[in-house]
Amino acid sequence: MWPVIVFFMAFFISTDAACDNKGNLSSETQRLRAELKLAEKPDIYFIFNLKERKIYIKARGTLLREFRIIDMKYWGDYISANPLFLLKKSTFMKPGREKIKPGADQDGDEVEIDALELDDMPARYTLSLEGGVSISVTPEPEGLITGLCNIIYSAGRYISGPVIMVWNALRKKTFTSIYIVLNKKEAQALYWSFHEGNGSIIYPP
Amino acid sequence: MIREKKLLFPVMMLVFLFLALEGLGYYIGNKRTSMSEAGIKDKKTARISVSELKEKNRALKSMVKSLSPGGVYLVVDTARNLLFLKEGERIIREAVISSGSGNILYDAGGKKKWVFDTPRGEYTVKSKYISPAWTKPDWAFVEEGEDIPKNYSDRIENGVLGDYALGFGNGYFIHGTLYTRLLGRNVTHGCIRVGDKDLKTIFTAAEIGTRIFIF
Repeated sequence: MWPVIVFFMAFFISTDAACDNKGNLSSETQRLRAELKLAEKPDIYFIFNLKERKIYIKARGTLLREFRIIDMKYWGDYISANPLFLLKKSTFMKPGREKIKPGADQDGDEVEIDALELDDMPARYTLSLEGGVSISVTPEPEGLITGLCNIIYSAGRYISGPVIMVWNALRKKTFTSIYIVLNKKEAQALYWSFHEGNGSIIYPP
Repeated sequence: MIREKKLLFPVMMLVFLFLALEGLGYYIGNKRTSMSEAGIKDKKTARISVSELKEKNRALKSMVKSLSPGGVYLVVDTARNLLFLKEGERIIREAVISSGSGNILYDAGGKKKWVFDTPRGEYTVKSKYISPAWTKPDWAFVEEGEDIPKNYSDRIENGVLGDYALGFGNGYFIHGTLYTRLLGRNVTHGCIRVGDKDLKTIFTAAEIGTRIFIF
């Protein structure tokens, strides 16, 4: 009797594992096709690999920079394997550009520089992509204030998420909420580099 | 007391409705998360075998990789103000640069606007100059509060672009700088300023057609 039970258990486990493997491979095929589409164009594109917990900035299939995802949560509909383009970046305080006063000394030799730099970029923001995908980025808590801000931001996300989900369900639209924690500088660098119209591919966890 | 009781009911109803909405949202969300995963697995199990899928993925990966530059290429990270001279995955040289300030300039009438960003995307080296002279564009005069000259010769300025310049289109260059202490900062009008030693290496390595990735 025991050998039969063991045989069936082994059979079902291996079949399930094979299906999982096949599923992952199929998902990868679709996303590689999508990457090929993006890599054929002379634009920068982004790959959010939630499984590997990495974000890659690429162009023409060449890796330009990568960020490590410290923490991540995924909730909602399955994400399309097609390239998803960035529709909007939302943040509490958008970085503003300085207006140059004609005639003033602008040769950059002053000690104080009025420019848009990485430090001016927000580390806490939301990226709205096509297909109802919303990526919330927060910095890794470094102290009491950032920790508290992260809690408030997360609470807001937990409250608004279900309401948006119901709203999208009523409109028969998909909605996926992804929450990502990055190192502060890398969160700012992602905001700096990722622009409206840039393509991206998301590998689900 | 009676008034408070009257108010309590609608408030309680609103709280109840909100909580019901939240609960419904979580229910739909969690159901969709699990359903979508199962649905995708079903789709995937059809027809193609694992080995065929593996082969397909290998082919797709090599197709993506074939689009990468063959020889040396330049990567410009405007966020960190770094330039990398690379060949394949190997970094040949890493240089600190200055890129666009992101500032805005309007002309006196407020009709014309310039945004001093370094352009992003894929470019190629289109021209190479030794001891380049700068042909000052209109914005350079507007910024200094001067009239735009009519003679072309009045636009020429020597010695400000360093020893070498590599043009990558639309008047943008990778060039040298007099302001070396500002390397690492976003201070330019869109061009990429590089220190003398790094510039010489980059200029020597990069040919016309060398790819430049700016992000």
